[in-house]
Amino acid sequence: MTLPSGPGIRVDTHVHAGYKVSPYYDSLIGKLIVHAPSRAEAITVMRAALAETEIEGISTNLPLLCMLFDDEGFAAGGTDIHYLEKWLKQRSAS
Amino acid sequence: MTDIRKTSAERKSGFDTVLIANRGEIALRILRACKDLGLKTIMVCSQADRQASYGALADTSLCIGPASAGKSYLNKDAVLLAARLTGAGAVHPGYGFLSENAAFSEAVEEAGMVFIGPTAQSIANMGDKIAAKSAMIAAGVPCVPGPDSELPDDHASVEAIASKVGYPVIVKAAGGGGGVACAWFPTPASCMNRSRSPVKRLGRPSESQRFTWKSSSSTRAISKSRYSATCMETRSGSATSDCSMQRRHQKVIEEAPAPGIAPDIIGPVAQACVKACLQIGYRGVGTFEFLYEDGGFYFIEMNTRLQVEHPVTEMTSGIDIVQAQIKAAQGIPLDVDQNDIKENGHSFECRINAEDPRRSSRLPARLRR
Amino acid sequence: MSGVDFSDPAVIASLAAALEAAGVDGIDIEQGTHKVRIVVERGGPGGVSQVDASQPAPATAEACFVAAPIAGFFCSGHPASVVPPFQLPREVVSGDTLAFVRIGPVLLPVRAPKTGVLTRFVAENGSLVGYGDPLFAIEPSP
Repeated sequence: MTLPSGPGIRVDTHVHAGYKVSPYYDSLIGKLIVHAPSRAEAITVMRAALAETEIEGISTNLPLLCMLFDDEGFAAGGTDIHYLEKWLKQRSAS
Repeated sequence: MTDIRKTSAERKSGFDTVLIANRGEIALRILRACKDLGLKTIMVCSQADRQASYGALADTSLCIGPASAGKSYLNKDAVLLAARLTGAGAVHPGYGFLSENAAFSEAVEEAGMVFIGPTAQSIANMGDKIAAKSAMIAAGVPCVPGPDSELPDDHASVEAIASKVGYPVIVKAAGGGGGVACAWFPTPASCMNRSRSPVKRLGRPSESQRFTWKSSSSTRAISKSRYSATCMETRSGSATSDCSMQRRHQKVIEEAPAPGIAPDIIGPVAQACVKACLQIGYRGVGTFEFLYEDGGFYFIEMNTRLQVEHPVTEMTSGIDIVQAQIKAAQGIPLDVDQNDIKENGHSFECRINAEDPRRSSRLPARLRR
Repeated sequence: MSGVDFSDPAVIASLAAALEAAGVDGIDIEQGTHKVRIVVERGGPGGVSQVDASQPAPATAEACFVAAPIAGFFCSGHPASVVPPFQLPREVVSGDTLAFVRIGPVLLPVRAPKTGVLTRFVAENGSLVGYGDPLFAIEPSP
């Protein structure tokens, strides 16, 4: 497992190499947080942080997060609460 | 029993030991905040979490029950027993589990300990969407159009109300949180379809009270994280975040500040939130959730707990929200005023989830890297 | 935890709920001259039944570790007992009361889940134990 680090990057997690994800509770294994002077810069930092993150042994939503941060609509901002659901539908249809 | 039931005046005198009634990343986050404040920590866990390494970081850790949450993290008696056995002065519920359980808040305080969160009364009021909406209207917080009371049972009346509010509408159980028990009706036709009728979909006895709000396809969910301490001296503050990126009504990405919404639009809403907190005698951290549409904010619900996404607000406001929450519970006034709170830069939070292989099969294969 | 009022039904109710959640059938409580017996009914007929403390214990063919049925303080003998603590190893019969978990003045007996030899206490007398913590080991009789 590799977690990102550097200026403007914060990882809130309790998991560590060898940790077993319990089926009894919700599936949140950590939160990746970035901070930068502007939204565009924060997106750049998050892309790099996501690319640096590696979690082996279990399937995670990291690929989805990477795709979202590469999405033009999301980068432009102002997406609504239905954006992600629609986006996923379009992706699976094409 | 009187000797362990302290009066509320004694309770305010502070505490030096916090029992953390949660698990995972938030348990560790709270533990760190407690250590930074020089407080001793007690971590409770279930059988399944004995393996978790963070338990060893606490001054005391104690297994309170079997893996099933109902028998451990959600078991009020087991958590209270652990608090009594270890001599805890306060209980931090984190988010989820017992964090918005009014009976638990009351039981903790009755046992002479501090509940790090609002009073049972506040939790109960805000947990009831109808009561919450009435309280917000009274405080001048902009609310969604729709009735301020329970929906009638017959389909025709629900139809009439929906038409008056204007489509699309959402029908939500009065006691449901987040995306739970939430039905979406874009057109009257979808509402007419009996199999999808709001009455049928939300007609379970425990959810007999229903609540309608207007929405539209351009709606965004704006979450206003705020905190206030009301004791000797009242101070409060608020900051904004955007949590539009939802999947199956659950948030995936949050950001702060909300992009494309001018601070001068947010300002008056923030002030109204502060006023609402003072009017309802709110204590500690809470979050007002709004829908944003065409320059207008519409209150949908208040979460009476620490948010999962509190870090984005911490990053932009420079305030340690968990520490501020604990200090508020100790009766220490916030050292910032609403006007002192400046949002700097931009922050994102991604929730990293372990995917259930069955559910993730809905994702296109090429999403995998 | 001193001075719990057992005439308060709320205390009894809370205690009973904790016992039920922990999968315990009942307890005997002694406070001064007063005695209280709480029996958790589970569908079937009520009555004093045996604490099935072996349930959460990881059992092996060699030794059976008996686990704490609830969080509390471990007592390797009855605190009020004038009988000196017994010597180890000791032959035990299924159902024998071997130790207690103390929650304030409440003593929850921990019984032998099977016949064998009590070889050692894993938990220290007076220490705080959590649910499922191993308390002592019973090995098969030679």
